[in-house]
Amino acid sequence: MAERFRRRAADPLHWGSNPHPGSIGDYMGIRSSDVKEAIGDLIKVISVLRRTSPDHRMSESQKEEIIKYLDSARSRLEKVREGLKS
Amino acid sequence: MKIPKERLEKYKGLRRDFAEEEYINLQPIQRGGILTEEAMRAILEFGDGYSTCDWCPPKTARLDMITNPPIQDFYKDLAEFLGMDVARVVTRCREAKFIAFKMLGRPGDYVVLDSTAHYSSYIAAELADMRVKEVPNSGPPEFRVDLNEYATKIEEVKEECGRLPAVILLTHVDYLYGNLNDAKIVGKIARDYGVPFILNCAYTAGVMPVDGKELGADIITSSGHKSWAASAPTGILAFNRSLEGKLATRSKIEGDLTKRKFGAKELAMLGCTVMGAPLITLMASFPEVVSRVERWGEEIEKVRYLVSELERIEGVRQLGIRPKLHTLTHMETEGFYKISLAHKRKGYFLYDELRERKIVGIQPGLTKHFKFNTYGLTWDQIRYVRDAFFDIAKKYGLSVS
Repeated sequence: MAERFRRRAADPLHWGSNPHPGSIGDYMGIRSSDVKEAIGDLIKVISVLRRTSPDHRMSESQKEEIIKYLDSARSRLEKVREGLKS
Repeated sequence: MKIPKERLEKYKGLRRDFAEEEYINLQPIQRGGILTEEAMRAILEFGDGYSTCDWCPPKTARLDMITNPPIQDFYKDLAEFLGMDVARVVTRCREAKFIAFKMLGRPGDYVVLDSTAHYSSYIAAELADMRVKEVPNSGPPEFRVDLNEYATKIEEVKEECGRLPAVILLTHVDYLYGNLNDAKIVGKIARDYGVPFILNCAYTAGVMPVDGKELGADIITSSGHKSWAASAPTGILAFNRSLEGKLATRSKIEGDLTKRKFGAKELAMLGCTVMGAPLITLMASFPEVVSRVERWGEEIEKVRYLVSELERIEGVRQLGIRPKLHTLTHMETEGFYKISLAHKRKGYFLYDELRERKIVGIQPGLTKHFKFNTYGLTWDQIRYVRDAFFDIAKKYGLSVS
């Protein structure tokens, strides 16, 4: 099993998703997964917009839902921004 | 050949005019294919070309042998969900039908099919060098297929050719009127005659419960982009183990010079079928699809409500079997047609009025008849559509009871 992981870590095909330190995903402290998670949050926002189209009359809970996703996206993107400085 | 840069500009920043976030889209073929959040996210991971094939096993290099992402498990779960033994993802429902025809029939054989079948069922038969024998329907206003007539048509084929049809096909819900056919009746006839039975579930599997075993189907075909919240092109071919030898038979060809063979490849699938983004959206949406079919009852409530409301408008009535058993609906709208005759935009006025109210999907130019699909709309959106039609009717002097 350990050998399999070692080979996978050395395989350039998997660098993007590799959690091992020193892989390309950690370069300059940026994690691509943070960017993707932020996009995931925004997809959730789109999903609410789809359920409320075309007039987007939202209940209070739907508005709260959107704010929660926007906050989450902002915080993840902030981490990416911080990563650029490190 | 070099293409001038300015000509390439139009391919940049592609945008859809009718984004689901901005419009209510009633297009009959689009409602069941709207992506789930998981599917949209999965495209980010697996949108690149052959990205699903990172871990393709070298010794058994075939799509259904890939375990990461879990394609192999997905095929098994897909078959089980449909009450079948084996499933393959192909490019489209029509390809699934063609494969079934090609592998089960011989040139000149007959396919017995319902007279409300989609054109692609006919073309698939034609490409497989087969003939068709149609089972009649009752005509207006119900267009109900006489399912017991399948036995008569099988007898006709037997009389004419001295052998049974190669297959019989029933369209579970037709694309014209959204009539749901009782597949069990045809399943029993197929069993009695020993003829393989294809149930075309393009509009049913993925949105409503479908159990092939219970319905007596030997083969189920379906459409991922029509009913499984997947990107196009995705089709489903699911079948019983007894047909595996024919439908999933392996390649036997050998190069005369190189002696190369491809024995791991399934012949009718031409090796691997759909990989990348379409397949991954189908997989990513699968948990939601499994869950959403349980809510089919509410979808029927919504469409029946909308139909009953629209029928309050002068000259509007639903065609097809009543009450509705599916969300695809065909309306006859004589009142709107009369208005169109005097309108400067003729038949396009209704489309214009709806579009102005952020509703699309009714075919432009149609006012005498049109189709829509309410699948997946919220109650608020259903009421919004009703109000828009009432508003248009009143604007042009049609009475609303």
